[in-house]
Amino acid sequence: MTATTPTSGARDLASGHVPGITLRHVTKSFGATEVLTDVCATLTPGRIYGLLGANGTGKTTLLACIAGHTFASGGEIRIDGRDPREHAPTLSRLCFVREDQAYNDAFTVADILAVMPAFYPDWDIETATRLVRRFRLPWRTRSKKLSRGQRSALAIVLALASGAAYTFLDEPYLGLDPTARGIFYDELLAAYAASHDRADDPRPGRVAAPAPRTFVMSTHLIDEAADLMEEVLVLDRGEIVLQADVDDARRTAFVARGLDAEVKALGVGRELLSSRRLGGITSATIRGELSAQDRRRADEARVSIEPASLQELVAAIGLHGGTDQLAPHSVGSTHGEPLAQTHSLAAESESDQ
Amino acid sequence: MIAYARRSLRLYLANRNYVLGVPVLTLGLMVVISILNAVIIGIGTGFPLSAQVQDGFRSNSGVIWAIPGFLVSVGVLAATRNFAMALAFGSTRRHFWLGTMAGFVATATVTGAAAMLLLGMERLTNHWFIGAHALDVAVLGDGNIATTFAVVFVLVLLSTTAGAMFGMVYRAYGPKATTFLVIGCLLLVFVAVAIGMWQRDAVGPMLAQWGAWAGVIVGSGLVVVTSAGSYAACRLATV
Amino acid sequence: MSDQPDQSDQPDQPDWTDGRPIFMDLADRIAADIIAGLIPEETQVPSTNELAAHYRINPATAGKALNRLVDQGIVYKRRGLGMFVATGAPDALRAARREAFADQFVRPFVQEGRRIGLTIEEIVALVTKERA
Repeated sequence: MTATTPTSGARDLASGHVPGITLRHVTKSFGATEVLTDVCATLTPGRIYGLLGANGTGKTTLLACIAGHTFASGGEIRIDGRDPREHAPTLSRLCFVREDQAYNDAFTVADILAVMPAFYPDWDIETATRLVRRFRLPWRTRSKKLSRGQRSALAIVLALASGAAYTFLDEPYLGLDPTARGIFYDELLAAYAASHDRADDPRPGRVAAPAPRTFVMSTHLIDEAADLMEEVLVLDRGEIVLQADVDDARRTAFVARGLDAEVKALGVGRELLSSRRLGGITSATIRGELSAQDRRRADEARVSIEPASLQELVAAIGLHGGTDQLAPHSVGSTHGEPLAQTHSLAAESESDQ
Repeated sequence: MIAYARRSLRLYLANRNYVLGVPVLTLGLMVVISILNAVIIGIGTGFPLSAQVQDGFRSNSGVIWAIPGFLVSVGVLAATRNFAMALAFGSTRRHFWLGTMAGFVATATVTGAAAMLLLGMERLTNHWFIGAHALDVAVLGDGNIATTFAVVFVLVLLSTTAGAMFGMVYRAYGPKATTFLVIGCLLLVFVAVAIGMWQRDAVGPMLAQWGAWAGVIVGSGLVVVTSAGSYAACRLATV
Repeated sequence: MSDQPDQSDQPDQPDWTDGRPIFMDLADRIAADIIAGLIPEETQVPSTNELAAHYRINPATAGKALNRLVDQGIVYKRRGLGMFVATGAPDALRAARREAFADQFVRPFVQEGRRIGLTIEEIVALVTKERA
């Protein structure tokens, strides 16, 4: 079990400091707009995290605050126990290429890659070269001429080859086709595994093994990459509303589908995240766990229970006001037929055996 | 401190053609244009140019106008684009600023050296064989190597740091503040020139006494102001 | 199972969509390979990283799957070498599966038969016919 073992690298940090990223009541406003209202989270080093949430919930802003690209309006941010602001030894272990990363127009891909070893002593030129080849990135093209997909590919090359202890991937697969996304998944896992191997194998004479790398992947396209994540953080309305192991997160909600009245009965006292109706049939995403008895009752009432996919769960949280209880009359009215959900009708009928 | 700052210097120098080659090329082009200009004049008056025409040529201030345009844009792009890159790659703001300043000094040094070299060639070839003056001119100290270097060096540094200040203010305070700053700077220049004109009886002899060094001293003072301004804005700039 | 992560873009991806935690599915899949003799007794099981790369899943998930098999005594750890299939593991797995057979297959099978109007006798007749 490599992934959860604390390593010597983490222990050797300044005494009394918590390794990883700690966020306490982080807030961020742009003028009158409050993007982050109260973000609290702890990220243990050496894991792949998914930072999930609908578009515009402040995922990039949160990462920008942590990496010091912008200034949090309030709260406390610590990386390995340190305030990262203007702290070179801490910041130099970070890599955060933004989804809309600005590059100097005069620089070609080759120019940018040639500079990277100066920023990252652990820059992995082999990985970089291999990735440029696999993504078919043009070396001699100026950064401003790159397509959306090529920009994403370049960001992935920079992030993975950097060797940075804390690597933030911001919507990493925008514009990438399935083949390129596959390459990204393979290479992310390879970079992650390699960092764990190095951390687990301190060479003789080496004082401290490097800590295994921490990846934070922000995305609103969830299901495809969900299997790569160890833990997910769901951001909604400026707060982390859910931080959990991927499997546990999936277990926090279910989709019940059946006759309207029966679904309502099952949902009483539970939090309704979203619901859709098709004639007399209601399909509701409901937060909460089901006992064996509940399941039997559902079965008898011909209500099918499916685990909610992570994508559904996050989408439902995004559409959801926050604290509604499922009152018997509320199904299909308060949250009925939301805009963003039309596409999932097809998926729904597929899952209907 | 130096090790971290060197990263942003490397970033600045990522494309050397752009930050070192183009300024030198600009100087070269300015020389070529001056020569062509001299050829056109010479077609009318005969070659080499008469002493009188050459004297007029000494007030050629092509250098002063050729250099800043491009270099201000270099400074702006360094402060906006390179800044975004350096922060993405884990730089602090002060190390970025320091490294980028070192980059500006590198551009200024190389351009100043190129100016000295071209001046040397100009004088060795008896002003490009036809009496064309591009660098052996009054604003650069009438053929004085040291003055030529100093004027070009300070001019490059002033252009890039001013550009960086505008870029950093843009990053820190947004487009509106930047527009006000640019307009304010232009107004200040206008006022300074106006005062100079108004008090030309007082300023004139002073300029004559100091010659091109007056420009160097004033320019250096302005470099201090623009550098300090870019540093202050840099500390508040965001991506 | 134990082959290197392939360079093609389609991983050997099992269908995770039934909603069980991925690590359970993965553990079942490794167990199935052990029963089928694809990973014989006392041979090495793919490492967490190999499994992670092959199935494009988080190594921690792969680790959980292996730990589940360790807990069941199917696989054991050799220090510094990796995970190995325990002697007798295929038999043990088969026995466990026999026990689960009624729950997992027979009951839903009978239920479905009844739902579509078959009697127990008719269902048994169908099973007997399968012997041929």
